[in-house]
This record gives sequence, structure tokens and C-alpha cells, in this order.
Amino acid sequence: MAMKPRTALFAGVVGAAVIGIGATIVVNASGGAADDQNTVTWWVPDWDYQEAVKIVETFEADNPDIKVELVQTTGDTVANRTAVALDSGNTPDVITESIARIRGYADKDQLADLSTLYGQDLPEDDFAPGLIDALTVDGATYAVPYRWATNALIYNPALFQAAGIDEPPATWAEFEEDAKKLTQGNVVGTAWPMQGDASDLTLRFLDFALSDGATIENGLPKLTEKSSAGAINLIGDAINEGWASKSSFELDNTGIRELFLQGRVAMYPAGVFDVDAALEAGAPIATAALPGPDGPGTAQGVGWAYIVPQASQKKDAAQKLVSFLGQPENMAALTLTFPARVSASDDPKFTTPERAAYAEQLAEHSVPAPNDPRWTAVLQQVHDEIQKVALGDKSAAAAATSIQEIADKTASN
Amino acid sequence: MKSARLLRGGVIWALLAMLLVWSLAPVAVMLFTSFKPGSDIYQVPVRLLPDTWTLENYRTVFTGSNMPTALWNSIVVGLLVSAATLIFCFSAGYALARFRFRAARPLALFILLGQVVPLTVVLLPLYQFVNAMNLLDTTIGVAFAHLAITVPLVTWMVRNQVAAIPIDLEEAAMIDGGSRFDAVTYVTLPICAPGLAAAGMFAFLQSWHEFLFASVMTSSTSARTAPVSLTEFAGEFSVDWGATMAASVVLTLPIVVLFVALQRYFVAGLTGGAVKG
Repeated sequence: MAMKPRTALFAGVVGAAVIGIGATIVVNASGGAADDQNTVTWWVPDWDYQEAVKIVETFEADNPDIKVELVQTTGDTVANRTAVALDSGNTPDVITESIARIRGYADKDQLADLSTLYGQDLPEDDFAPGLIDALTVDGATYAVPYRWATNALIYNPALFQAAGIDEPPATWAEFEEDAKKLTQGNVVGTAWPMQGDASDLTLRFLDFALSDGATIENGLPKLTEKSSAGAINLIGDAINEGWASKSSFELDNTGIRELFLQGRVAMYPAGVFDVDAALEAGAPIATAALPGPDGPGTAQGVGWAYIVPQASQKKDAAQKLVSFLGQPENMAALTLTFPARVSASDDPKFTTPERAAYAEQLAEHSVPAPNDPRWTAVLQQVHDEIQKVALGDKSAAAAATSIQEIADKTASN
Repeated sequence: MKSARLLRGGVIWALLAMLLVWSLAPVAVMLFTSFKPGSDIYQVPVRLLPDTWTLENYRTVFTGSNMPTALWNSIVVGLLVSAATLIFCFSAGYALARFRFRAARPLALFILLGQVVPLTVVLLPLYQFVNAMNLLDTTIGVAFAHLAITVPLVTWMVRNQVAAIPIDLEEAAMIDGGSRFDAVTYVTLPICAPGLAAAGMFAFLQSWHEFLFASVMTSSTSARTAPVSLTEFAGEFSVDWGATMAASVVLTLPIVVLFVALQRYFVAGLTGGAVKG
């Protein structure tokens, strides 16, 4: 029986589509297996990409038998992509990852042990204090850190002078007193990032808690109700009482920086990137160590490192690349904040007057941030407790009790 | 009586106005922020309209980012997903609606299960599936992954639409000498056309704004889709909100135009078969 025209057309279109899909699968499945054994794939965040291209050119010139393929990641996608790649076993050879997430991968045996890289070329004692320890699990070091940063206090000296304040605050009491003096007209003493990523706020909270007796043990914060209450008071109560901006509820880190540049926020704890932004904008700026209860406070060190997945088929070449990237000049080139190696800090870009407070904070008053994934999992809960205090729905003491319960439960899991 | 009616009308209009503001306010903020220079975005007091209008953010999107390539990728992926969804789902939906077999109902329910499973649960198996076909970091690979989202619901949509068409019409075509294929192409497909257009558009929309699968399945900028490319405007320490909003407008506009153009079919298609099936 002859097929009617429309039926023939329909069958033809569907058939062509099915054949096309099938052919695509067959061609890709059979043709893509050949993998260049000399090519190392490096997942690099887009903010490092331009410099990475230059460094790779040098590496390839020094190692003609190895080619490096750069694949750009973004800050918002790297965590998911890395986790799925490591879980599936289909990985690149080198990944630039946040130090805070590395322990979680190491716990699942997904990373290659890079301990053998440390030695003459990568002396452990040339790295920031505690940094290598934070990346070591059961005697094996799973990453080579290259970028290290912490928060310090950024303040507007012109606003301080106008308010009759001569020195930046060195203690919490001075911080509160100064913030209250500075809060007048369109200016507020300080602001906190309550919008955006929960970790922005909890990082500040934990800085204050660590300054008042909390510790970090095996990558997990060990809080006390007293240390939490003091920290919450500085953030939540400050907003509630008005000496920290009420607009904190709508602000992320970028927002606070913009208000500082406009002269509407007088001081705030932030990273060195904000200093560069203020200098570039010609805004009045000075820096100081973070205030603590009785003197300089403690800040957490955060940063990025290179990891080699256990599933990588080219571990030797990958480790050669990582070792090369860990050299001081390459570390300095890829670092916007501070390099992980002390010897790389000699680069002039790390020794500006505004960076002095950061260098002091890193060297004398910092500890590596928690890197246990169990803590990362409860950040939103901690954030919400602080927010309740800022909204006036809960006292700092009650929120501290709740956070203590969260921390205790996390530790016992 | 009249005043009560007026009052009731007033309340309804007030509620509708509130709904309108609630729905459109974020869109308005997105649109106007995209025309603001950086200094206007964080000005205090906050203003909806820019003091100075600028196209700089759009210039950044079109000349200083990978968004043009990403938009093209999104269109390619969306069209592939729409086409494949319609082919697979029409076949499956028709079979479920027309053929009587023992497992028809459990099978239909099983297909719908795919719609209620969280995407994160199927992410890893799908990744391995796409990887096994060597389709990682390709637009075709992303399209395959997106089928996991579109196929379950569209199969059900099509099944209900086909079931709502009296089988007598197909039987009449077959009595007149046509084959089942003829009955489908000459009778069922034309009647189903608005519903299929809606299903295709639904599949396109799902693919257009999907982020999780696309962000994991693609690694190079040549295969990134537009929602993933949006994250390029968020750096390590700062977010370029002006460019993000401009890119969001660029990402939203084609969909709004498409929806307005095909709205009649979309509504008709979604409700087709709603009372019988």
C-alpha cells in the first residue's frame, strides 16, 4: 500500500531525526576515546585565566613533552563541577579549588597525595603558618596552596577625622564607640553582608568568635556560648541598635564596598581586594588589624590551592605542573591577595602601605578557616540565627545558645 | 447594592494591582539597573530610574564577555531539546493513550516519577551517561541532559491531549483506507498541533533557563549556555551587577517575545485534554 504524502513526510522527518541522534551518539562514543597522553587539563577560575595562559606558555617551553589545556571555571560553578567530576571519576588533571572544600574531597579519597612535591622546591616552612597542616589528612598533603588572604579593618580616615577620632579601633569596645560616633547623617559606622552567600556573614561571625576564645580543631569550629554571644552582639545587635547599617539586610560584600566608596560606611572588615578597589577609585582609605576583645583580633585565612584528582591518568605530568605553579614567581603572578609562600611576598605589589595591616594580620593574628564540610553544611543556619538578632526577633544570648546547639550537633555527626 | 459592587470591584482591582507590582517590580529593577552606571546602582536613597542612562553594561555583555556565544548555544540546545522532546514524547504519549496493554498505567506513572525526583539526585548518573557517549562539554550533551527534565512531563501532556481526541476520528480515517500512520498524520497531529506547540515551547523554556546540568556538563566557553555564562560577571571578590542585569535582560527578552507570540497556543495546549483523559 502506497504511503500518503503527509505520512511519508512525517515518517521522513522523524526517521531523519532519529538517525541523526543515533549517528551523533555513535560517532562521539567511538571517536572520542583517543586522548592525548601528553596533554594535562587544568581547570582554572576565570579570574586567573589570563595570567595562567602566560605561565602555561613558559611551562610548555620548559617541558616540551607536556601540553596544558586550560579550561575556565567560574566562582559559582567550580564547586558543583569539581564535586561531580570527582564523584564520577572523569576528572581533569589539575584543579584550582577553594582550600575550604579540599578536606571534603580528601576524606573521600578522591585526591592524589602531593606530599612528595614538598621539599627543596616547595619547602613546607616557606608557606603561611598552619596552611600545610590544614591541607594534610592522616599524614598526606593533598594540595599545594598558592593564594592566601584574610580580612582586616578598612576605614575612611576622612570620616574618622570629621568625627574627632584619631586612631582606628583596636578593641571591640572602641569599635562600638567609634561606630556610634561615626553614625550621623548619611554615614553609618559599619555594615555587615547579610545578603548573598551565607558564608560572607558567618566568616565575620567566626572571626569575632575566634578572637574571643573559640578555636578550630580538625577543620571544625569549637565554639562557646560566650564567644558566639560576643560575636553576635557585634553584628546582630549592632544592626538592631543602628550603629551598623540597617541596609545590611540588602547588602553583599560588593554592596558594602560600594557604600564605603561613596563615604556612607565608615569602616568594615574586608579583604585586600577592597583596598585595591578604593585606591583605584581614589577614595580615602586606611587599614588596621581587626579589633578583638582586648587587642588585635583573630581572622581566618582563606584561599585557593591546586589539587590533582586521584582519577587523573597523568599524575606525573600534573604534579610537574603543580610544582611549577608553586614557584614563588608564578604564585605571585596568580595572586591578587597574598601568596601562600612567604618568599613570594617580596613582590612589590604585596608591600604597599595599605597592605601592611593585612600582612601583620596574616602573619600574627590568623588561623586557617574551617574546612570540614559538616561546618559548610550548617552555615545558612548560623547565618539565620544572627539575622534573627539583627531583626530584633531574638537576643544575642538566645542565638548563641542555638548556634552552640548547631555546632555541637555538627561535631557529633 | 451598587456601592457594594463598586467596593468589591475596587478591592479586586487593588489586589490585581498589588499582584502586578509584586510580579513586575523585580523585572523593572532588572531592566532599569541594566541601564545604570556603576555609581548609580548603589546610590542612596535608592532610585528605580538611572540618573544617567548608559549602554555600557550591554557593551560589556556583547563585546567583553562570552555571552553572545552562550546565547547562541542556548538557542541551539533549546531547539534540539524541543525537537527531540516532541519526537520522543509524541511517540510515547500516543502509545500510552491509544494502546491497551497491561503495564500502560504503571508505566505512565513511572514516567511521571522522573518529574518529582530532585535534579541533584539524577545529576551524577546523567553526567556519567553523557560522559559515556563522549558528549561532555558539547551542546548536544547538554541537550541530552535536559531531556531528562522535559520528557516526563511532556509525555504526560501529550498523552492527555491524544486521549482527549475521540478515537472514532482515527477509526474513520482507517475505515476510509488509511493506515494508522495516516490516521495520526492526517487526523491526530493537526488536532494536537496547538498542544504540541505548547509542549515544544515548554521544553524550550525549561532548557533555556536550566543552570545545574548545563554548569556541570560544560567546561569550555564554547559550550556554555547563557544561564551559566551569567556567572562570569561574578568574580572572586565582586559582582558586576550592571552587566549581570543587562545579561539577564538579554536572556529574558527572547523568551518574553516568544511567549507573547505563541501565548494563544501555549494556554490552549496546556489545558488541552484537561477534562478528559
